[in-house]
Amino acid sequence: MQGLIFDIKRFAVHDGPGIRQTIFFKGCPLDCRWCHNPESKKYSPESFCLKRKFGNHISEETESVGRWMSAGDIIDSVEKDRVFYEESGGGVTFSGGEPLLQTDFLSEVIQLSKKSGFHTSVDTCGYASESDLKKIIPFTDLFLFDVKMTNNNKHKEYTGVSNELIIKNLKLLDEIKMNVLVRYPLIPGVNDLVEDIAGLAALVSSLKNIRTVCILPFHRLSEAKHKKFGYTYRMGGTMEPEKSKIETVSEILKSSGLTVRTGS
Amino acid sequence: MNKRIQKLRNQSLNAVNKISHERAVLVTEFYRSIEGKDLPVPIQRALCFKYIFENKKLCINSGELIVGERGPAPKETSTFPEICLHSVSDLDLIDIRPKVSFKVSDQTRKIYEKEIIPFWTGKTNREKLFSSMSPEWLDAYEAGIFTEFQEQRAPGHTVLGDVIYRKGMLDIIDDIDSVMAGAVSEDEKNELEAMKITARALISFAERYARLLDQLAEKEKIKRRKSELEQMAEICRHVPAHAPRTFHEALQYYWFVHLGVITELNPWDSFNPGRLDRNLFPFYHNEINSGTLNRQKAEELLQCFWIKFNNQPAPPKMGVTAKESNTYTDFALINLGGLNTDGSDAVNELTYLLLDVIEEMRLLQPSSMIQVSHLNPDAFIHRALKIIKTGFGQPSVFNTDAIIKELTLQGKSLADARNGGCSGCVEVGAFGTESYTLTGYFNLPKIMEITLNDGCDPLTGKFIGVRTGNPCDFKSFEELMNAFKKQLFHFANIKIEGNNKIEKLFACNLPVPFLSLLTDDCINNKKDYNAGGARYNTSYIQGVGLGSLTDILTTLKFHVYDEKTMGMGEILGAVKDNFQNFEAMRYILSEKTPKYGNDDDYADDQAKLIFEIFNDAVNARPTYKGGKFRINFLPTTCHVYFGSKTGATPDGRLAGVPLSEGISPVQGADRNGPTAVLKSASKIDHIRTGGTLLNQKFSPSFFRDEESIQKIGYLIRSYFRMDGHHIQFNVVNAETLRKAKIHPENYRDLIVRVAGYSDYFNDLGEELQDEIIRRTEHESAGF
Repeated sequence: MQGLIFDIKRFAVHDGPGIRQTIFFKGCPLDCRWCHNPESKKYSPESFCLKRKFGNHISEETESVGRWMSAGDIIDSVEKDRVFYEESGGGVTFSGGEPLLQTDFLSEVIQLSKKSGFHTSVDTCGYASESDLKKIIPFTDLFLFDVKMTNNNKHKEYTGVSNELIIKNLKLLDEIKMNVLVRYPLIPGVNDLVEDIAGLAALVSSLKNIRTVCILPFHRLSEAKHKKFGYTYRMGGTMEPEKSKIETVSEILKSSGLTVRTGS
Repeated sequence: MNKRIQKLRNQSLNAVNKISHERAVLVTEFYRSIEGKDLPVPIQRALCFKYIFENKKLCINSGELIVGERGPAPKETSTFPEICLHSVSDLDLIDIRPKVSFKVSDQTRKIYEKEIIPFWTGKTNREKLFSSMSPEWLDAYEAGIFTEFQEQRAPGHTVLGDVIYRKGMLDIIDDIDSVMAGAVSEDEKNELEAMKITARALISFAERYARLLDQLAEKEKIKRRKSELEQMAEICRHVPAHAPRTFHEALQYYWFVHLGVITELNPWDSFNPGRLDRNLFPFYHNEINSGTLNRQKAEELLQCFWIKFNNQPAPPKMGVTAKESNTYTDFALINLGGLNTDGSDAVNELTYLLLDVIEEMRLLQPSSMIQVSHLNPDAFIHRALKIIKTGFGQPSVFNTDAIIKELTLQGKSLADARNGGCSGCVEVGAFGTESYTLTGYFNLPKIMEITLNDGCDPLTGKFIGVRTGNPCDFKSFEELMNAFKKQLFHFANIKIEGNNKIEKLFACNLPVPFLSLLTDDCINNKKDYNAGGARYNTSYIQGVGLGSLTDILTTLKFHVYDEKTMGMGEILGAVKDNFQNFEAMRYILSEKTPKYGNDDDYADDQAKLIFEIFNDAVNARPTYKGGKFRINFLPTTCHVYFGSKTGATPDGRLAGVPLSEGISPVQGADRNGPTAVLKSASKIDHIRTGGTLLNQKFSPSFFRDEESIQKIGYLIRSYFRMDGHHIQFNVVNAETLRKAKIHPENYRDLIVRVAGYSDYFNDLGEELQDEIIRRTEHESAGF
């Protein structure tokens, strides 16, 4: 079977332990207003007509985003950097988009990854059925699990879906003692109020095993990408959070007994 | 750093680079004085050495703890008229040129005009060298096919082993005497006698310093300085005559020896104490234990030592030599870490102290590197990466395990290999036992350009290669490669024939008895360093433009032979036109064609082919001195010069643009990140080279915290597991560089990694500045 992939990044250093290769799945059930990868949302290949300037030459060409790949194709690519994973304790990260939107394919490729001896991470928004999640649990070494907001109304407003399923899945992973890193995108004006952070602290500290939260401060680097592919950038007025803000958030979480990491 | 060091460091940084006529005058006086006398050449050279050290001005900078300058004062730089004579117009140019200038006083000009130039014209090694080269050699040199290192400098690259930490000059004289007691020929006797003269001359030179220090001590009012001066005088009476007893004596001894080597002649890449942490550790350890030294004092002494290197810029270069190595740096490369002779981890307490010194001194000279073996701890790499992070390009990172394999493959004993390391940019050597000489850069893409023009240089219209046929008639990629191979062998033969004549010139006319007595087994072999006296003798030809040539060949393979999307004639037409009317084609060639540096075998296979052809043409061929020729891949700044001599190329490169450097991909051609670059770069067999250079550029964010630094450490370990020889990092953002270009006055201390060495950004030529900005920008955009 084949999966729809929109990018593969080698030397990924922020998506789990060691040096990793990150496989970006195309298609996402959420519609987060701050999404950094607008081209990752749709579960179908897309074509963009781009103008490229090269000296005085302007070339108009079609860039297609989204490529159907077999699990074997992906393993071939991951295999290329084996020496780096062996030295660093790294491996492969499945990200997106949302990898669990293509659960059957993810399940195939993640099993193959384990068989090849790679450490596996799944970077997920958590919005998936319990049965889908369970298909990959036995083959996943680490979940990078996004919690965007604990306030469900706000969650619906900013991402288009309810967070009930997400929180349920987080609790499920916690129950069975999966290795999980909670990731919290910190977006000024969206989820940076004291009550937002208090909600997050309450949720994570109520868990039995999961103790680490990773704060991902909002950045504007994707504005250029939106422009390039012709998407509307919806975060026009939002600035990157100030250092002091990040520190305050971090302090609140730490005071709830959590381990906090900052950075993408 | 304390006030003393701050003052000395500022003195060094603020000193203006000047030409000193002192050495030229003394050498001229000496050679005048022996006119008509029939002295054997080694004796002449030794007496000349002695004359210089008996008469040169002494210099003791206020507050310093280690004494001795090559010139009369810091950055007053000697010239070597017996090697290369500067004309008045050369001096004018050196005085006013915008980059790497040296001020020339009116007095110096006059002395040159009246004394130096009339005496040396017609007698210099440079003139002898050019007049003994064949017309084919001269044509290839003119065309920018290769350069010649020994044109303005003596054979160099050499590194001291541990002899001076075990033996004083008097002990070495005893060694010489015991060899002389056996059967020796007249020539051998002269060589050994010459060594003894230079050994004694260095002792006398130190005694001159001791006397001057006594005088200064007598006059000195401040008690603390007075006792320092007295102590320094005592040190100069003890070393170099005797083996050093203390850390301070060991440093002062090395420094006298360094001055001896870089005054005797002007060896390329000066001279180098090599494995400094290993060599000094016993002294450090003993004195720390006995309480006569503490960490702080040791640090201060090392800082004084560092400043001495910075005070000695590379002697002024002209013409092609200036272009291929356009820098004040004289490439003394301090080696840290690696292995001990018995194969154990050599990282010690002093290693970390030396890294502190490197970080705090932040000086252009000496250069520094870390040797990383699989046995060395991660903490060692991480400490070094924290210095690299500051963007000053030092230390560079080397693979000890590869170095040892390279050296043993060349026939060195395991012990000698473990005692080795790298000097200059990335050149491997057995320290204290090898004479290894870089002979010149070799322009690989230019040879392809000649191949595509059936032996003709399209820039001049001159026929300088061999007839290999019209490339449009080649039926296959193999035919093209065969033609290239013929051309490459043709030029390699010319270069090697020239090199052997040049080696003979140095062996016969310019022996170096002082350097010889420091290098095993010159004494036992009764033979000069420049004549093959060392235990090992190696001569290198340095390939330049591997990435560019790989892309050129891949372009032709892909478009002409495999995909058949373009004809050879079509591409060559566009190349001839410098793509002026072929922008669309250039876009395809540049952007839509497989490129080296992306872990794509389709492209990287060509790098392997080039490697094998170049290696076949050069490797293991005999040198005049009885050694072997070998290859390595590094450019210094020669990729810029060679680029200026090479027209447009089928990979979409425009005429005159710099070539790729070292084994790095063409600037901007790598698009899959650093792991792909390292994979591509490791596909050639580093172990069969004498060094390769890989430049990786990172924005500072890749070093931002412990975890990131750890990951860079893993990247290094991975590359080294694939037998990569060397990697260096440029950590600075493009915006800073652009600002520095516009307002150089605000960025005087901005040091960047160029290629195998670091340099002040302000001292780089504009083309090189732009290239580094491009390189850096590409990185920022890519991640």
